[in-house]
Amino acid sequence: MTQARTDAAMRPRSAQTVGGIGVGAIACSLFRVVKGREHFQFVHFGTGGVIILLVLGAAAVAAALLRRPALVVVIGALFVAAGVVQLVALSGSTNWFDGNATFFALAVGFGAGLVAVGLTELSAHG
Amino acid sequence: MAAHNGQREPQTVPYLVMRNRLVRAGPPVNAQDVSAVPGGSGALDSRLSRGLVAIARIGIAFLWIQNVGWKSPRDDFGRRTGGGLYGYTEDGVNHPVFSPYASFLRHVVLPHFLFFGWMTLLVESVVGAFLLVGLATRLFALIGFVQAIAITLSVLNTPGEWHWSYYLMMIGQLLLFATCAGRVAGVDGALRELWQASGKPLARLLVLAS
Repeated sequence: MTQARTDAAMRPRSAQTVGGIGVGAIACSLFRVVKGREHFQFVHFGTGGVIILLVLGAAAVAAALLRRPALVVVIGALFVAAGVVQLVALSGSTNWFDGNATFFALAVGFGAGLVAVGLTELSAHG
Repeated sequence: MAAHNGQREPQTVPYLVMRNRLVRAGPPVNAQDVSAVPGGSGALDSRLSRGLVAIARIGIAFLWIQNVGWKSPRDDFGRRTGGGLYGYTEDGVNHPVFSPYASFLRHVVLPHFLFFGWMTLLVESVVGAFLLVGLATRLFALIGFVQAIAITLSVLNTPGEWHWSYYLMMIGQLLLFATCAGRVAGVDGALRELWQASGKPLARLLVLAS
């Protein structure tokens, strides 16, 4: 694979999508607010999960504003890593995010989306 | 959408693009200009339709995501307690919908339930995850459709189940596939042009999957 230009800016459409995923992640932290209401709490997580969603969501919005695809890949990878940690916690004794498989799916979704956008943009500028 | 030189930037309107293909024999129809589509009711209607497609995709994604929540490996997916996913799978044996499938559940799935429990959790999680962001949406809509068939064949005859729940699950997946729902407010829509321009095998696969 040829070396990609990691300093190249994303196209506006991709930046919009990254920003949308970031805002979506931040919005999903509200599922914590409806805790206990099964009809509305589609995703289960605790304070650790809220921190992940807020921090990585805000980072994704910042990456969209800066239009840096390499940064988007890193944030996406961190989301996926958070998902894998949650998956391991499902059968382990420590549950850092106080979540279940719903948080795994959510984090992997945001991560996969960001990694796909970042890598495609890097590849296009390679 | 940003405007350049006073003109609206073209937007991808998948269902209109498909319609364009169907009416190719007639006068050329601009897929970006809904007012040119016979029977079209203007840009507001088009924006509303695109928004509703995105809402449907995200809603169905959360259907899958919320329903992986009760599938837990802590009790071997219900095998230790006789409930959970194991209980629903047993229902497929005790209240068979399709005899060969019930036999498959009895002789293959139940004896190796830990493996199938993890596979169910992973497949449903990934379907929900990818539908949520609209990545490879048509592929995951198809996978979701197959999974919905498997669920239907397990529990359709179980007393107390509302059969339309399962029909609606399948129909929803078909609609996501038919409308290419990831091209509206999804990753597919943002990247499809770049995938089409790329000659790489993975990009070609993603064009097919989106």
